[in-house]
Amino acid sequence: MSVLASLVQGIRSLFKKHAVEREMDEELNGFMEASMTDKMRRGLSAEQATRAARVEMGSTNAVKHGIRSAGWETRVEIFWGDLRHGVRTLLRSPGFTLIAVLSLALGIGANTAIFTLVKQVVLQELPVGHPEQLVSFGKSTGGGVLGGVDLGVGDLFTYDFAQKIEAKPGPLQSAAAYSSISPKVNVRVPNSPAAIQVPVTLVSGGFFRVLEAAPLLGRTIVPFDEDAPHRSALCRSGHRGQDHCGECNFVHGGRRYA
Amino acid sequence: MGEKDVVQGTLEMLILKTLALEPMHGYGIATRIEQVSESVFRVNPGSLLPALARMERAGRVKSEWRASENNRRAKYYTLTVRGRKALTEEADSWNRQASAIARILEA
Repeated sequence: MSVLASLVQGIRSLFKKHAVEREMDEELNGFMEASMTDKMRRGLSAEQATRAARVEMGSTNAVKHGIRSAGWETRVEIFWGDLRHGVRTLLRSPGFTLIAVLSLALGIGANTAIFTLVKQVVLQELPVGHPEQLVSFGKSTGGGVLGGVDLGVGDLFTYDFAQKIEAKPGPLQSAAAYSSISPKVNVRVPNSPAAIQVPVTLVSGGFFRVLEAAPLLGRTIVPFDEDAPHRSALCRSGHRGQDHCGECNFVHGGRRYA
Repeated sequence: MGEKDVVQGTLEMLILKTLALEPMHGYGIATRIEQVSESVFRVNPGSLLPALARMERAGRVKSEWRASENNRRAKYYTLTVRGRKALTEEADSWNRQASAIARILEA
């Protein structure tokens, strides 16, 4: 309870400084008068009593400072005063202040950007089951041949090889494959004359099972979809789905797409 | 008769003890301590008033403005429950320390 009382008193001291100052003066004057009266009662003259009382009191400012120091609000006032002094000093040299502020802004901005990236790429967990167990072999993106352009075959595995690994994962719990290139396919939008183009990634049937990723609606691609030769299955990501489609019919001549 | 400041750390305990008898204003507390100690201790306002302010913040005493014996306005301090408890604790601690010092000196 005294913490609350101290807080209330401190706030009162901060905002009613004059009233608090008046009370302190009144108390000090009362002390002096009582002291003078007592000394005169003991036989001192008025002048001697006054001098003795003043000597006893010492510096009234020092006494008031001691009284004020009893509360936390003095430290707040001192801090506030230091802050104002600092700002005034900085405003007196605007060139230096500008350079300092810009340097700080640059440093803070750069660090924020870097750590945001680190958080997203390294620290944030993937929205799949047991992300720490997930490993991608080969880091090829954009490898292979597309539209007649050979983009290199580094770190690529053939579909045949991928199928074999999926069938017999060996030391791995399970395996799935995904394509290195993201082509765009045409998607019909309901109630719209024009189709839209969406980037897709080719994945094997067990892809979502290996990822342990569950859909919000409907189902993901399953091994059955891979086995059906003339059917196509599309699994839409949440981000893409919010753009246009309520229910989209995807058309591309029977190829498996995700 | 030499007049000394109170033993360091004991001022609050002496104030609490003085107020345990009855509520008093600052000068009354200083006078009572001087009288009861037979002028061994004299408390100046530079020590007393800040100590009273600290104790008020700590909740050991509370203050109110009243008419004094001279019919002038004065700030009277009263001991609180927390103050009485603090007095008991500090007095016990002091007595323990004083006994220990006495034993060492007599040894």
